This record gives sequence, C-alpha cells and structure tokens, in this order.
Amino acid sequence: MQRIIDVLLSFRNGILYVLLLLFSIYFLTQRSFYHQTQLSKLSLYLTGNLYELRQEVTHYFYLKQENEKLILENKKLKSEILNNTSQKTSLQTSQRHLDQLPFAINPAQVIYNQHENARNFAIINKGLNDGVEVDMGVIGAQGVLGIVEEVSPNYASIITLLNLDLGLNVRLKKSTMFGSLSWNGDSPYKMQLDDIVATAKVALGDTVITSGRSSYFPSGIPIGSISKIDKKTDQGFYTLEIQLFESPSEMVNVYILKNKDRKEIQSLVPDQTP
Amino acid sequence: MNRANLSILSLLVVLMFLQVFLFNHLHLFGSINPMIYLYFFIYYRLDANQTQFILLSFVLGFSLDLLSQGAGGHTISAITISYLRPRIIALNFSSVSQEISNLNEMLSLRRFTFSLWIVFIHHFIYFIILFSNFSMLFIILRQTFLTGIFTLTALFLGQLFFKKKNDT
Repeated sequence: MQRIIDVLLSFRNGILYVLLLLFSIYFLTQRSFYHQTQLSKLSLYLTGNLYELRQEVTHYFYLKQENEKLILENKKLKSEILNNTSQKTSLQTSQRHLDQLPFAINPAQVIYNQHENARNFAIINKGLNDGVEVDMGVIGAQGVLGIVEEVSPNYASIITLLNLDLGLNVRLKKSTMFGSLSWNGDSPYKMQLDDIVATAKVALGDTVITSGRSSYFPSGIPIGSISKIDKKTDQGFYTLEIQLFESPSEMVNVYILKNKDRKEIQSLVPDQTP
Repeated sequence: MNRANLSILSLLVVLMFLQVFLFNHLHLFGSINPMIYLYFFIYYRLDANQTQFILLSFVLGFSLDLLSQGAGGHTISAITISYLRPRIIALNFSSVSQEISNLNEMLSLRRFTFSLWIVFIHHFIYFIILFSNFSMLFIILRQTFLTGIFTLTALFLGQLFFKKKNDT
C-alpha cells in the first residue's frame, strides 16, 4: 500500500494535470455547443473505425443467418415484381419506376448497435463520402432502424427506434388511423403506439406500417403487429403494444433512404418531427 | 501566508485584470489580442514547486475563461504549458548552473528563446482548442504566429517599463 501511494505521489504532477485537463474538457463541452459537436464528431470517427474492425472479424460468424434473411427478402421482392408484371414486363421499366420514386436507396451495414441504454445509437459503415446526410431515414429488411444523427467521412451514427427521444409516425395497415410509435425503454422487441382514436377498429395481430407523413420514410414499410390492446375508459385513445417484426438491435444489412423531395417538403413545413 | 505568496497572488490578480479589461479589447488588425498573462509563466521562479504551479495556472486560466466568456481555451493551454514548463526549462537552461532561480540573472538570449517556446506552444494549444478543427490548420498557425509576435512585443515593452521604474 505504501508503495502504491509512493508511486502515485511521484506521478502527482502528471495525475493532477490529467485531472484538470479532463475537467477543462468537460467544462468546454458544457459551455460551447460548437466544441460539443466537434468532440462527438471525433468520437464517431474513432468508434467508427474501431467497430468496423470488429465487424470485419465477427460478421463471418453470422453470414449464414444474414444470407437467409436476404434470400427471404429477395423472394418477397421477386414475388411482388412478378405479381406486378401485367403492366411492367421488363426489369428496365421497373428500374425506371424506381427512379421516379422520391426515395433513393443506398445499402449499408451496421457495425455497432446498442439496445441496453435509454437512448440508443447505431453506427453504419457509410458516411459523407457515400452521400449520407444528417436526417436521412434508415430501414432494415423488415422494419425501421432509425434516423441519421451525425455523419463523418466514412461513418454515420443513427438514433435508433430504441431511443426514448424518438417518436415515429405510423398507421394501421387496415385502417387509415395514425398514431405515434415510441419506445418505453423496456424490451428491444416491443414498442408502444399511442394516439389511435378509440373509435377505430383494432384487433390483435393487425399490422402497423409507416405512415409516410414524415419526410424520413415512405409510407407502407411494415414495422410490427399489435400484441396487446389497452383502452383506458376515461381517454379517447388506445395504448397499443407493438411486437416488432425485426428489432433495430438485430439489424445488420440496412438501407439508407434519401428523400429527393425532402428540401421541397421542408420548405413547406418548417418544424417537422419524425 | 508569507510575503512571497502574497506577491504571487497579487501578480495573478493584476495580470488577470489587465488581460480581461485591457488586452482582450485591443483587437489589433482585427483579431489579435496579445496575451500578457504569459508573463506569469515566463517570470515565475524557475525552481518552483510544480504541483503548486499547475494549480496556480489552473486558477489563472479558469478565471480568465470565466471573466472573458471563453469556453475553456485559456484553462487547457495554461495547465498544459505549466505541465510542460520544467521540460522547456531543461531544454533551454540545461547547460547553465542549476542554482539560478531567477530569470533576471540569465543571459538575455536564453531568456528570449525560453519566452519564445512558452509563448508559441501556449498560443498553438490555445488556437487549436479555439478552432477545434484540423482543416483550419492554416488559420491556427497564422493566428499563433501573429498573436505570438504581439504577445512577445507587449511582454518586452512591459518589462522595459518595469525595469526603468525599478532603477529610478
């Protein structure tokens, strides 16, 4: 013990310096918003590179599962195209059809993902150099991952759905009732849907899809199904529990959506929430 | 509290107020404010107790930041320079006898290079923190250089002034 104290004492200047430096950096980030963002950019750059390395090693172990998922998704998409072939016979026309949609799609991989905090983030391996910008929506094969929060040259951090601050505008597939989907901080597979008017018809197992009312996501992306219905007698709204088809915490292959009309929409609606 | 401590404290307060109320409002050529509080780092006893010195410079830098609405640049650069100071001293005065504790006894050339080191390292750190962006490296270097020159000039003039006063 005496030795430890001696060693600490012999390094006391260095230790004092580091402590004061940490305090000043904390003070700096508290006082200056500019320095706060600069610091978080630096941390995104560092963690991005670090987790890319880990991802490169570990993702081989999940290749089989991921392949199966992608095949399933492909199968679904193929069948949709085949069902639509009455008007559009060739791939060329469907490509043209894609170009006419306001959303451009860019694939990416999640290299870091959290679900244990109250405000969770993910990092993907596409950034500024790939055309990713702040406020773009990111979706997985069967659901929504989140919205781009910050971008560095090669990576982007994403506020996932599993974040107490994020609310997503959704609707029921069967009716046109809109509501707000949010996470209650509990299970990464369950979310809460509020503000569905009590006169609407809801049933267990009904599918919930994105509404398309925000400029982040197009309408019709499936998110989950109703697993519990709660209707308080004194209120005019349902509180529904939604079982997600795919939890944001387990998404690996994702797609970044760029809304080509976003600027135009934003110019009409100045303060918009997701 | 003895006399020496009291004089150090009064020096700190005087430097702080000079810096905040006079030199921070000069804006020479648009944006240059000489940082005369570096006098403290240059003319403080060379054989000082370093722990005490780091704490003192933290107090100085922190109060400067608080009084000038700065975010933390003065604090970080002040504690860094106080931490590095023994190394800079060793670099500049290694060949000279260790017994000399006061800069005034030094040869003026050595004293000058020592001030150069202190001023430019301090300014470089300060402007890195101020801009926090390495794509602005050119602006950081330019500001360091220009402000450094004016700080050195101000320190030199001030020293002349005080020297004359002491002689008469």
